[in-house]
Amino acid sequence: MLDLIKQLINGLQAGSIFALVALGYTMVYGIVKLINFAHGDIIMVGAYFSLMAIPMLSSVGLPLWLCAIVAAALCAILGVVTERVAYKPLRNSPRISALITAIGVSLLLQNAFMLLFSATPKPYPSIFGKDSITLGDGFTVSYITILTIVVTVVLMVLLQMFIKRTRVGKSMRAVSEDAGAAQLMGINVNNTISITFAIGSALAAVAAVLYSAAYPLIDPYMGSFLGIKAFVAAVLGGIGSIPGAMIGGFTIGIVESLTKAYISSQISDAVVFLLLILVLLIKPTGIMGKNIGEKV
Amino acid sequence: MSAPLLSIRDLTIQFGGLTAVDGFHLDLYENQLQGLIGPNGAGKTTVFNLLTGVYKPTRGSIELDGKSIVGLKHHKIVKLGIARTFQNIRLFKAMTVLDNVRTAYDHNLKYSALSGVLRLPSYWKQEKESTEEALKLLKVFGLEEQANTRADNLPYGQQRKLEIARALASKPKVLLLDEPAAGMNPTETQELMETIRSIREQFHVSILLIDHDMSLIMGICETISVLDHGVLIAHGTPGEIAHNQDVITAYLGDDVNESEEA
Amino acid sequence: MDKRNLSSYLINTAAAVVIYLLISALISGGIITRQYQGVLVFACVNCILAVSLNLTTGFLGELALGHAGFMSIGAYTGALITKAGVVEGVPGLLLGMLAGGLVAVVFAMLIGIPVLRLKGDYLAIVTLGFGEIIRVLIEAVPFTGGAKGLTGIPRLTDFTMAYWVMVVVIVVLFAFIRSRHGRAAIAISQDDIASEASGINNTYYKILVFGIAAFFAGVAGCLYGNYMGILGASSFNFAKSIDILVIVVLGGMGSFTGSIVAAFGLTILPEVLRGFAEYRMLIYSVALIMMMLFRPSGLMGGYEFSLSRVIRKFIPGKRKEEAK
Repeated sequence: MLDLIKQLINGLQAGSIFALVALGYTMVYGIVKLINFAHGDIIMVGAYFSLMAIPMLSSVGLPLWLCAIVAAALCAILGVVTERVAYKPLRNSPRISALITAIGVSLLLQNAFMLLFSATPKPYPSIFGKDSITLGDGFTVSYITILTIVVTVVLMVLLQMFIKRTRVGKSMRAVSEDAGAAQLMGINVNNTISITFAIGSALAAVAAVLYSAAYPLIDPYMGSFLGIKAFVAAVLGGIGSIPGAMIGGFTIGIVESLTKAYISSQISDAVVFLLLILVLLIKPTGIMGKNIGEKV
Repeated sequence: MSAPLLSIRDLTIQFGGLTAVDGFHLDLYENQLQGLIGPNGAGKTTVFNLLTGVYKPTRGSIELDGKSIVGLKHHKIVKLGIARTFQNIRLFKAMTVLDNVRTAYDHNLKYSALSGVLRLPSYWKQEKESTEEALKLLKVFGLEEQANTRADNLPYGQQRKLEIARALASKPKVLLLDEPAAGMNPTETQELMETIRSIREQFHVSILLIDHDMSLIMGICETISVLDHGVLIAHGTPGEIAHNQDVITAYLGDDVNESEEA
Repeated sequence: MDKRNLSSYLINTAAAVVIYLLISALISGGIITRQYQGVLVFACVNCILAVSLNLTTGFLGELALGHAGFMSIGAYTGALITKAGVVEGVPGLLLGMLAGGLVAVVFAMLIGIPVLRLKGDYLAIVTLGFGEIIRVLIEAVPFTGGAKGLTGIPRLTDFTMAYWVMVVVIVVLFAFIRSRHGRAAIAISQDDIASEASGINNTYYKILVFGIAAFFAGVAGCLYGNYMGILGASSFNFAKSIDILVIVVLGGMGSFTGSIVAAFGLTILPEVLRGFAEYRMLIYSVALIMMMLFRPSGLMGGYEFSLSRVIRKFIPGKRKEEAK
């Protein structure tokens, strides 16, 4: 029983990371209908950016967790630049062109970082300490686990409020409904799309820091499968839905954690993948997804 | 009169809270030409989407030849005999004019993928047939010279015609035309009217026509149905519709009506 | 079949034979070394992979990122069959190719049927996941040699075999795309709503095309395994799927000619250019982005080379006949 609870908490921790990354997929897909394959690699970039920021922060005596902010800012810029340079010119092209470009960007990031930092995994310092909280009977939960879950839930709530309440949030919803109509209503569609990419990438960077602090080895390919799982989370929760991304993320995290613990760690990726196929088979709109008919 | 070819009863669809079409009914008889008009957003195209299976109705029945087609897939309904054109032309742009039409013959061709790849006699025979039929159809629309042109290189008016030709290629019993005269000048519209009349005679199809162009609708349709906010507000001959008070109100708004009365 | 079709079949057959004899002569003359014979076999294998992927990605317009996964299924199936040696020699290899292709089709159906009935770009992500996971599964099951790899596969593939299988695959795919089934696939890629409205069952044709592509990827895999004599699951990774995609994109989506030229070019290039291998993926990634931004139709566009057309151009008498 104790072990099961432990696995569930592990699942929630991994699931939080998936959820943060899934947000980027779901927001971008909602607004430009593009599976941004490069989103997974933004996590990797975020991990390297934050790793580089750590010595600088410690030399000026600032707290190390600020590296998450630095990484978030840099990744936001990277996300916006990618969109402007690679995706925006293709907005009116066949969908497959943008998809191939996204694959290209993903590979470019992976291989550029491979050449810069080599393929050897780099150790990541434990910036949040190694403390843990004992909940009686030898049952301990590490500080980073709690932090990850709390940060994710808080960010999720903030984002939901941002989208529902603020002007920019409303523009984002309008553009994802109907970009043409939004433009006619005086909404700056390009800026709105840029903001979406910025937020998604910044969240991925936060996820990267939380992930690297927990699993302290980073390499240029770390983002690719993490990205796929987060995408599965987004589809499972219902693409375009923010609460859906969280539910999807937690579900994937728990499924993966239980598979690793009780079946085999080798096949855990396959199980997550099977889950995607099942969702597409049974309810392709996901748990929270709306059924949207296509305009004819 | 005999039983209707296409019989629609209580057709209703809701999108979330919005009822886009509410209790629509219509009977289309063999070889008849009916019009469907209404202001923008009245739900005309939605009716077409319901008839062709793009949307599933919330309620109601659609019968073709006495058999229900509700819930069937779009391509199945096409095979049963309802073909359509689109408001915003949807051609296979990078394909030739001939291939656009031949594609719609697909379900009339029977050779298997294997006999196609092995180029068995059935392939040659059926391909030849479909090409000949497609060329015949293009001739009706005066497009035979352009058979090997890419569809998106055709001028606008001819693209509209090609779309009708493609719809006819699937050998429909009922042809749904969604604003075929949109974007055409009066001369072209006149010419289109002639074409529509002649295809009804030549292909023995019943036609349901949506258009904003009153002269087109009034000129060729035997009966007209009027939709407003998803509700059928009038049905009758062009003469009756032209003088129907509800229709005038729907089109011109209450204000105009009141000032006219005053 | 009319006279003109017959003549172009004869011309193309003759061309395939002439090219084969030419290369064979170069091989037996020792001008093409043993090492480069291997490169030619790889080029033929890549060519089969590229033309089959082009069917899905170029003609049908669905991005598939797991072609290496289907290749690996074909490779292992074919290897196990030829290794078992129930049927010896070349017939065994042919049996292996058939079985490899069919097993790949089974897997293609498993992922294609749930995914291809949906609109949207799910195929891309699902095939990407599939390509990665099939590797894990191959290493997990007992009969594939696991992480150590499968060894002792009879080396039945030579240049002759690879070349003629490639020719057959190209002919089959050309014939397919110029039949009603191919026309339907192209129509779906152009406008999937209009294709349904023309009576085309989109889902059926998408699954058919995806299945055919997987079949030939399996065939290519079998050729590859029986050339190498040894197989490791890690050689069928995402990078391999991307290699094939790059060939298709650079050659031109919707042009088999382009895929053929690009397959040979991009297979031979790394052998000739030292240092290319190190930066290969970086160059490929930039190439993908640049192609999509500036020349989305690929180097060849939708152009298909036709030998009979060229010949007709040079024979004035025939040209007149055509004008009539």
